[in-house]
Order: sequence, then structure tokens, then C-alpha cells
Amino acid sequence: VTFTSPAFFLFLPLVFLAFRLAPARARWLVLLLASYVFYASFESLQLLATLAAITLISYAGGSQVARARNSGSPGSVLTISVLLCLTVLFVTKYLPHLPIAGHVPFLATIVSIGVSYYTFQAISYMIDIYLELQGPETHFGYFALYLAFFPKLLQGPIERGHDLLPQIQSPYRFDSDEIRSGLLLFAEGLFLKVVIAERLARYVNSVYDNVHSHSGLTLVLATYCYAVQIYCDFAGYTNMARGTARFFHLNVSENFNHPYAATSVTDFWRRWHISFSRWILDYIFKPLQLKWRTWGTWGVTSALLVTFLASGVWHGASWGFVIWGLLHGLYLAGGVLYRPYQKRLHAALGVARQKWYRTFQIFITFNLVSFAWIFFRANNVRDALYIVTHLANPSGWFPHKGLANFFSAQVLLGDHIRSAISLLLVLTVLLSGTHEWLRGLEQKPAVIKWPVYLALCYVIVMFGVWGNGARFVYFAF
Amino acid sequence: MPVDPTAPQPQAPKPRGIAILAKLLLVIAAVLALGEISWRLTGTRPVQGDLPAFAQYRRDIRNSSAAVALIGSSRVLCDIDPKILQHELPDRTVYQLGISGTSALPMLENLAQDQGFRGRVLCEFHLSYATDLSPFPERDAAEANWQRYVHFMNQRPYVDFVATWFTETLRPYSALVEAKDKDKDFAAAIMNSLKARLSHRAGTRDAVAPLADARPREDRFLALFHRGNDNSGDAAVWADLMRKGVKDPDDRMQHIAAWVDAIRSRGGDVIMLRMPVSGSLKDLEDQIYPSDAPFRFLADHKITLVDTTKEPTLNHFDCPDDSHLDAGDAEIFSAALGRILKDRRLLDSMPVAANRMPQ
Repeated sequence: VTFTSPAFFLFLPLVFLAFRLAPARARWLVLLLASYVFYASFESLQLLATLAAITLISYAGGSQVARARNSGSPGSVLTISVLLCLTVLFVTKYLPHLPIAGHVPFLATIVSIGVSYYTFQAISYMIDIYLELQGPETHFGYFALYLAFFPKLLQGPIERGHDLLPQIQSPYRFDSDEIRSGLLLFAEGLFLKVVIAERLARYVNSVYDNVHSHSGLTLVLATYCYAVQIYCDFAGYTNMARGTARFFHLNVSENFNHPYAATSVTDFWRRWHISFSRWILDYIFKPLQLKWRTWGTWGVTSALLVTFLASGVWHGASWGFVIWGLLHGLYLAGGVLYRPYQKRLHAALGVARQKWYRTFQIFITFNLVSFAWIFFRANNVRDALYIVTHLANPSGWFPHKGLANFFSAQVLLGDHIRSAISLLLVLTVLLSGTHEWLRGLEQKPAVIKWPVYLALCYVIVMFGVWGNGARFVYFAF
Repeated sequence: MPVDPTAPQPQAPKPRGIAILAKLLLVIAAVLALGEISWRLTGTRPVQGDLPAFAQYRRDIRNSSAAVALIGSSRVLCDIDPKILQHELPDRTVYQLGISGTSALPMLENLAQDQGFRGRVLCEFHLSYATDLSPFPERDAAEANWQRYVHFMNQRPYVDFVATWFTETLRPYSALVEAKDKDKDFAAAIMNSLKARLSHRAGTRDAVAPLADARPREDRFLALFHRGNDNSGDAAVWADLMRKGVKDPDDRMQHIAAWVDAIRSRGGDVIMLRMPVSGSLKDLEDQIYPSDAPFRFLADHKITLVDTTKEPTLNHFDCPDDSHLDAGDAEIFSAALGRILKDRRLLDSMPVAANRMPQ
């Protein structure tokens, strides 16, 4: 069951009904059982076992860290607990991709949907107890729900214990505004996913799965389309997760804030996958920066490189992800080294507050990020290198061929009318900020907002790409 | 009287849950209705899916001695029109149970194991049954279809309930469900519809492709799933057959004889039918398949065979793709086949004499 599968549209109302009818003291249990059923729908007992293992390790680890604080060795308890969690993550996520997996048939059956998200959540919970940012949760059920809560189980956001646990503990209060805004968020996410991301995926897949047949403009357009696709896919999922959580009076954190409007790669990481970037910043970058503080600027750049290398590895056991992480590490490290000169240059040229210069920065940042996406999306490093070396192929840039390829790609567009509709939808989302616009719509009179709601739902149903293909990109991580 | 600015202001009451639910249902209903109307305006029509149709036919042939089940691969599915055959055999009820790309044998065993089946079977007879060289390697190796089948039956019933039962039930009534399940592009459908209307006005309607996709799908293998609790027996039989496979040709032929005997023991019968092939495929089959042994085997076991290569009214058809008849020829072929079955009374009673193959 995923947010776009027909089963979910039966599952959610049933869970909500059971939640409302259940006595107040048993509501956490309804959500916990629903979350396990949701996870079980991926047909792997091993997944449930992995979730149970991480839950038990981190619950016991958190309690032991708090207890050891009095006896004087919380660090070693924390280290053991974190290592245990990382071992589970390694076995489920990386071991099946190592050469040894070929000799052990069982390893080929292992799936890791969502494992890295709740493992990171578990690790942050234990570290926060160690850092005395929060106390251990004594109620095992609440804690299990904190890790397993189904809207954010598969793709995050990676919630901190001190954000979500108090909400789980607080009594449920029905708020019609919350339900309404939850529905709107869900619809917005669905629009991003099935209308834009899935449609773009057809074009992107047709090019990226057969890169050697393309060059020049086609590769550039496919890469730009992938940048939009992955944003709409992931932001769409997050919106649906946040909308679903609001049904149960739980506020799941925002994960995106117009990332492609970023004026630098540093700014991009403040806006993209926010819960993850906060996690790696707090638990990898900051400790490294502290450790290497005597190295000055080089300490910061080294910490950034290591942090983003780890970020690449977190996404999967593939060289493409490693290069993607390394590229972002290099962008950020380069930014740190360039910053002193940048200020002087801006002052000398007088462009710091110019609107056109800000647009130029956004354009450059978008292109840097899109370039890194090539390694993220390509099926292997060889394909990625082919794309990089053929982006500027003059024959592929001949408008007749490149544009014709794009506009006549049957999988995405088929004809000019459809190409115009698709691009218009994409541009609407990217430029106008539907999110704020839809939020503002709630305050408008019924005669305005209801036709818009109706039109939004109509577009989702009629222009959405449904079916088996609608799998989220970040499920794999 | 002065107004106290610090006094709490009366607030409009918030809507109750039931009001939100009502509005939500209203929006959903309106969107679905608009969607349905939109798709119908493009010319898309609801149709009965192939899977429930197959399931329905499979159910109906039980407990009916008048039933004639057509089983085999796409050759049977495409080349024999059950309505035309029915017209030639007014006392019988003909059911098309052919499955694209699948050997007739699993279905023959399925019918043999079904104690409720007492009808006749018109079974595609492929010369490969007597050899190791099967044109259905995936199926015989228990791969694609079997895996889909077992996957659904054993592991995903609660998930696929919505995806199959729900949509298949709605499909005959909803163009929206039909269009979405086929992943049709609405923008393209609008364009095609507009083109069709414009060309209709211009008097060039023939140049435009038909709007509605009226042909049923042919993925009938999955149809057995749709029988729910009722198919548990079939499921076990089918899964078991696919799992163990019948690899040895002699063993396979002995199984065929046993299945035919099982059907005969309940008053039914099996008539084997060798379907037409042409061109390079015919050359290949003539070259690699034995010419005598299978026929001798059928004769020894008194199993009737209608061999289209030897029937004067059936042996002149040409298959454009070497394996299937042209749609127009399929109608003529079906009628000729019906007349052979009727004139020789092949479906009337269990054969007791030797093979009634024409000499």
C-alpha cells in the first residue's frame, strides 16, 4: 500500500474511523496496529522484524543511556546501541548489494523499504537523550508509534523524539480546520506526484534508460525534467504524509521549502529534505567540525566533504550516490573557501542586492544541483559519464532534433498541446508556489475556493498517471 | 453602551466532522461524475474485462452437459469465434476459454480435475506436446504466469482485492475505471475525439481510428483468480501442475490420456484440434515436430482429432503472421469448423470406435 494505491483510499478512512471510535487511552494502539498493517502490506516479514529490532534496540538503548548517565558511562552504552542500529541498517540495506550476497540466497530476498528513515530516527532519539535534549520515553507503545507512524514510515520526514513524542502523548482533539488543511495538503501532494512527477518520469526514464541513443539537448531536458520529477515526487510524498498525519492531530515537519529557489548550494540544503539535512548537520557535521576546529577553514571543508560523502552512502550502495554526495560536498566546501572573496567581489561589482543577480544565482545553483542529479539518477556511473560528456554534443543541440525528440516523445507528451499543458503545470508549481496559494485559498469565500478544490481534484483524477508505476523515488533509500 | 474591547468575541462555530465528511463526499462524487462524463465525451466506453468474463465462463461450464469449452493458446482465442460456432451448434453452448501464450494442457487438467465439469472440450492439439520443444517455455517452466498466480493467491489477496475485484466489478459500468486501468491519456483522448468529430463533419471519418477500444483484453490467465473462494480447487491444481511440470513428453501424453479419460468418465469428451499455421512457422513445425507418433497416440487412445491440415474446408487458410488467421478468415474458419463438428456428430456422444479422423 502506498499513498497513491487504491487500497490506501480505503485504508485511511478505516483507520481514521477506528481511531475516532476507539477510547482515548487506546488510540495510540489503533495507530500502531495500522502502521504495522501498512508496513506488512509490503509482504515481507523481514521488514516487520527489522522495525521490531530497531524499536527494541533504541527503546532499550535510550533507557540505558539515561540510566548510565548517573553511573558515569553513557557514551559506551550509546556507542553500542548506535552500532547495533547501524548493523541492522547495514545488513538490510548494504549487505544484499555486496558480492557476498551472490553466495547467500537469503540476502537476495531482503528488502529495506523505510529502514534507513526510522533507523536514523532511532539514532537521533538515543543521541538526544545522551545530549540531555530529551528524556527517555517510558511508554513502549508511544515509542513504537514514534518510529512506526505510517504516514512517515516509508520516506520520512525523519522526526526528532522531542518533536513527535509529546504530540503522541497529548490527548486527541478533533479540529475541523486541521482535517480540512490535511485534506488540502494531501491533494496537493497527490497532484505533485501523479500529475507532474509520474508524467515527467515517463520522459526521464525513456532517456535515462537508454542514454546512448541520446545526446545534447535531449539529455539536458531529461536532466532538468528529473530535477523537477524528484522534487515533485518527494515533496508530493511529504505533503501527503503531513496531510495524513493531521487527521490524527499530529504535525509532521516540513521537508521542503522551494529548494529550486535557492541562491546557493548551502541555501539549497536548508530547503531540500530538511529533516535529513538537519540530521546530518547535527549528528555528523557538527561533531566533526568541533573535532577539527583547530584546522580552521580546512576543518570545516573536510567536515562537509565527509558529511556529504556519508549522505551519498546513506542513499544506497552505488558509486553514483557516492559521487553525488561527493559533488555536493565539493560544492559546499568550495562555497566555504570562496565566501571571503565573494563578499569582496559583490561589493566591488555592486551586485549584492540586485534582483537580476539573485536570479542568476538561482539559475547557477539549479544547474549545479541538476548536474549532480545526473549521477543520482543514471543507472550506473558509465551512463552518467556518457551523459556528462555528451551534454554539449553540438549535433544533439540542433534544435530540430533535440526539440523534436522532446516534443514528440510519445511517452510524455505526444503532441504540442500536451507538451504545453505539461510544461504549464510544471511551471505553475515551480514559479507560483501552489503551496502558499492553496493555503491562502482556505480563507477565501466558498464561491471561490470550492470550484478551485473541485478543479484540483478533477485535474488529479483526469491527468494523473496512476497504476503500478507510481512508486516513489525515495522508497529505495 | 460602550463595547468592552477585552471581552471575548463570539466566534463562528466550527463545522462538525459530519459536515466535512459530507462536503468531501460531495466533491468526490462531483469529480467522479465529471470524470465519467469527460471520458464518455471522448468516446471511451465501459467494457467487461477479460478476466471476469473468463471467470464467468469458467463458472458457467460447470454442471452443463451442453457446454463446449474452447481451450488453447491465442490461436484458439483469435481464430475461433464462439458466437459463430454456437450458431452452427444450436444445441450446445460454446465458451471461449483460450489463453494467449499458454498451453492448453493446464486448462485441460483443470477441467479434468473439476468433478462438476461434464461438457465437451475442443482442445488445441500442438505437436510439441509429444516433444521436449515447447513453444510455451515460460509457462512449462513455471515462470511468469505461475509466479503471478501464486503471488496473488498466497501473498497479496488483501492488496489486490481493491486493485482487481473492485476495479473489475466497476469496469462494466465506468468509462473512468476502464480508461484509468488502461492508463489512457485524457489529453490525447480529447484530441482524438476532436479530430474524429472534425473529420466526421468534413466527411473523412474513415481516416480516423475508432474511438472506443472494444476488443477485450486477452490476459485471461489471471481470470481464475477472480473466482475467489470458488477457485481454491483450481488454484491448487494449477499451482501444483505448474510447480512440478510435466517435462517428459511420454509422461505428458500419458497425462493427456488420463485427463481425457477423467472427463469421459463423467459423460463429457475431448476433441483435439490442430490449428492452422503457415509460412515459415509451418516449415519449422514440419521440420522439428514428429509427424506420426502424436497421431498414433491419439488413435491408440481413441481421442478424436480434427486436423485442419487435412480437412478440405479448413486447410486453405493463410495466417498473415504465420500463427493466427485474419479476423475475416476466422469467421469463415469457425463456421467451417462448426459444420464439421455438427455433420460428423463429434460432440454428440463419447467415441467408442477408432479415431474418427478423416482418411
